[in-house]
Amino acid sequence: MKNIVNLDILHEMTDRDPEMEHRLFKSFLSSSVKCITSLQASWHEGMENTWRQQAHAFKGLCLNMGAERLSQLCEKAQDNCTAPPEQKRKLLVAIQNEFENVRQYLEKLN
Amino acid sequence: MLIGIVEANAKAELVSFIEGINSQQSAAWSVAVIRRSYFKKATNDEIVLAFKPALMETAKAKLYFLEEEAVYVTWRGMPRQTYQKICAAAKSLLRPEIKEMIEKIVAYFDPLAMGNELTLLLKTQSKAINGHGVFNGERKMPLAELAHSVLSEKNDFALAPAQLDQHRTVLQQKSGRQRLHLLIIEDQYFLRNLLSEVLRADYEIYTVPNLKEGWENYIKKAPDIVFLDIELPDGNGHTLAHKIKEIDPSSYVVMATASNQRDDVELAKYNHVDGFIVKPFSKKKILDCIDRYLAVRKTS
Repeated sequence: MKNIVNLDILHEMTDRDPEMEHRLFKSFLSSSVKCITSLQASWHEGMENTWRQQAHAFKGLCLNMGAERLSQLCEKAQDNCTAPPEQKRKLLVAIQNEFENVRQYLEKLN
Repeated sequence: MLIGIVEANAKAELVSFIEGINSQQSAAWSVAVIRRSYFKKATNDEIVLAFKPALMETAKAKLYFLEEEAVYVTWRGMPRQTYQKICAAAKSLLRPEIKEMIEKIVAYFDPLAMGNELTLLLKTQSKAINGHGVFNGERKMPLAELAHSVLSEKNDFALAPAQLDQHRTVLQQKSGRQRLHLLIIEDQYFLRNLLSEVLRADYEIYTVPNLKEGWENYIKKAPDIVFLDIELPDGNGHTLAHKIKEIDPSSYVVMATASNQRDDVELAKYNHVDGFIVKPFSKKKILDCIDRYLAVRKTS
């Protein structure tokens, strides 16, 4: 089972500087909200490319934050860019739920 | 001289060989890769015979024939001379209708510098680049055609004479800099922020979110190293890498992506970029790139 957030990757980059990590948590949450908003706008038919790009971009963020389960969901969304809209909508709900877990986890650390 | 041909388990052996080189940080090895589809009909034995003279003076040379029709040549020592000989040998095996430059066909890898993506190349299945074929499918397009298709993407890279003059001036001043200048072209605010936070104490950092500003900043700043994301909102990072290498062949460009797409690795090689980072970023991966840049600069 993957972690909600595995901070090892971030710690390696920040040398565990708490202030820097605090700023980075904020920018991660802000970037993530933008990605989710773009995914919300692109699960419909004809938007496959935008969906794939946004899922790919979000995956990149999650990998560096160590949001392992969220990055897996993003990869699934990326790979299923041509799936029927209803399937993508369900994936989006799963992404939103997992993002909420990540957000709560990071806010507890702050 | 030893040439081993490994048909069964070739891929696993090769991956383990490259991972071994990377973990030992050994700079002594080289790898060249050729797609067999470029060759005339030839048996493995015939290919070995054709390559034998090129590998006469090298130690521990091996040819790996992989199931997906790629031939990997590994050898120790004399990277440039042996590569040129391998190119000459490969040329003698080409189908007559192949008109590409031989250096575009025989991809050279310094496993220490490009080991990350070389391992990926071997481990992953071919996936088509967005917009240039089916997602997740086998690529049917030859590399040259794919490269043409991706690199001919419309982007406004035109330069006014004044911009070119400014660029030349900045290039001349590059060697006198106190600190290395790094240009990070990455569409995600969090990742730009992360790299900037981590690196700004030691380096001059410029971050931009798209190709257009990446190109403008490259021209204005002539950075020492460019870290370039492949998927950007206004186009494909390969197009910018190609343009940068065209204007400054000695530029140092490192591609970065969260994908493990084989085509991205091959296109990066096609563009002669200098490194490849598979996300997540880590301090070690970035500092390795910077160290390699410094080593290259020292010897050039």
